[in-house]
Amino acid sequence: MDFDYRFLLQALYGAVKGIPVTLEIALLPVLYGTLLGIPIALLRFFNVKVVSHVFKWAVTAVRGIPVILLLLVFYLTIAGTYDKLMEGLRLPFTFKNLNKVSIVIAALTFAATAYLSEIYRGSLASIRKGQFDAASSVGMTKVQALYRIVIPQAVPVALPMLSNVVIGMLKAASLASFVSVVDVLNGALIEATVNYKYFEAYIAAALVYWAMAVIIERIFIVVEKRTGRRIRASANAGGLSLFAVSRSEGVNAA
Amino acid sequence: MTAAAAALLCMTLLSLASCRGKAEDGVTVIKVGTGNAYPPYTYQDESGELTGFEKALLDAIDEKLPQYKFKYQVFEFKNILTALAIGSIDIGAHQFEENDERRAEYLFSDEGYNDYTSYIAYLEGGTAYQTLKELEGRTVTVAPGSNHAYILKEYNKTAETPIKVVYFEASSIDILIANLETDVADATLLTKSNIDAWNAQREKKLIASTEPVFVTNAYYLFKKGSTELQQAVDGALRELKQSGKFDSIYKQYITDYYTALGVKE
Repeated sequence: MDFDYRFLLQALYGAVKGIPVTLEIALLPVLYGTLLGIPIALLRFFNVKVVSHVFKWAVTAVRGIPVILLLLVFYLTIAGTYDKLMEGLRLPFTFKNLNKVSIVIAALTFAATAYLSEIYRGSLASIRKGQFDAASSVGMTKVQALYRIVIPQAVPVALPMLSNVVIGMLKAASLASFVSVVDVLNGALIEATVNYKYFEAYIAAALVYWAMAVIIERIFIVVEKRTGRRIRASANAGGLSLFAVSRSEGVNAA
Repeated sequence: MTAAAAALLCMTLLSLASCRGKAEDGVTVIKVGTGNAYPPYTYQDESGELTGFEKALLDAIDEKLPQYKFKYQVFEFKNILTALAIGSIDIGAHQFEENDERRAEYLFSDEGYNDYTSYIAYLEGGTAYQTLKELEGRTVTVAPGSNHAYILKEYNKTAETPIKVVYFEASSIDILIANLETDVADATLLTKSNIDAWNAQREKKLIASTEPVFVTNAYYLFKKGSTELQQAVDGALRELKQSGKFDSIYKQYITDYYTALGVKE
């Protein structure tokens, strides 16, 4: 087989044009999922009656649905109801003019919220409960303890998992082609319509995905190092820091 | 990291390329790549077995060629071409259409085996379109990689106002219908038999343009240089057409399929 490098470049160009859409579809659901997932994680962490159970089952249910299915259900439901709803509300919007990227973002946010709430809940749970007692012994309220003690320690725990979710979302974004959105993968594949050179097109898409994944991974490594350093620095500056309390607690427990 | 990724890719490619057909008692195993989600051409029956016009015709061709034994592998449409390009299959069969750019990359059968003439299709009650000219500045939804996408791409090269293209995955027909119903797209391009099949199953009908916008046949695809196999397949196909066997397979797998769906011939 003759590998067509010139066509690889052409497909690469098609793939690169899809980068903004792919990043939008991959990153916005993580952002929205964080905003929605943190409250869910807190409600479950503090075992708030009824609500905590409802979210427990809801999260399990959503995590069990394939993303492609969520995407198709969102698209078809919105396509079937949007125009009637807007007409009812007397708003001048139509499904025709609705940016289909927003439907993908909505569907992926739904999935991301479930994944992320579990990550944040797990990170919170990794911090010893004794730290709340320690905080209250110096007169902090539960909310203060959460913001000043627990969350700053939970962030470095969550970051590696968050990086996994971001890279996972980057790849899940390629499912957007099912609902007429052109991203990195489809930008590359569409180039091959004329000549059927899909092998080169797939390689082009892979190169772009690898580059994006490596960059995202690097960013997270830098952020992880920085947050770790800052926490250590503030722990040392605090003298009798809560970290020290936590460590001595660990020694006693052992 | 990058070196590891490159090594992984090489390993994958090697493992794909190493599954070439081997001779057993002088019989060469020919790997045929086809799909499984395009009835009546190629799909799975209730028991999960591959069936349809593609397989039935290829089985008949195989019977005529004692030197070959066809084995089927199922891929998504685009991946048949990828598998053929890297040499892990020998024949691609998924209602492929030819053009000069594709001929430069693959070897096509000389004999066509199905009419794949395309028409403009629009929802009943909507604006009627008869020519691609009328669709200039309008939006048409097609599957990426399909010949219909190719027709639009070629047309737009010389069009005064290009036709806007919205893609839908070929396996999600509901998205196509949703795109038409919500005016995301004004029309689509399909074969007459596609239109008939969907009309038989859906309340809201698709209307086909009176004249076709592109006349073509479906062909088998081979790797460049496999002239021997191509000529053998072409010869067998010609014999099947002459003996009337081709027509009976066509009737059994295509005509009868549509009749069963309630499509009037």
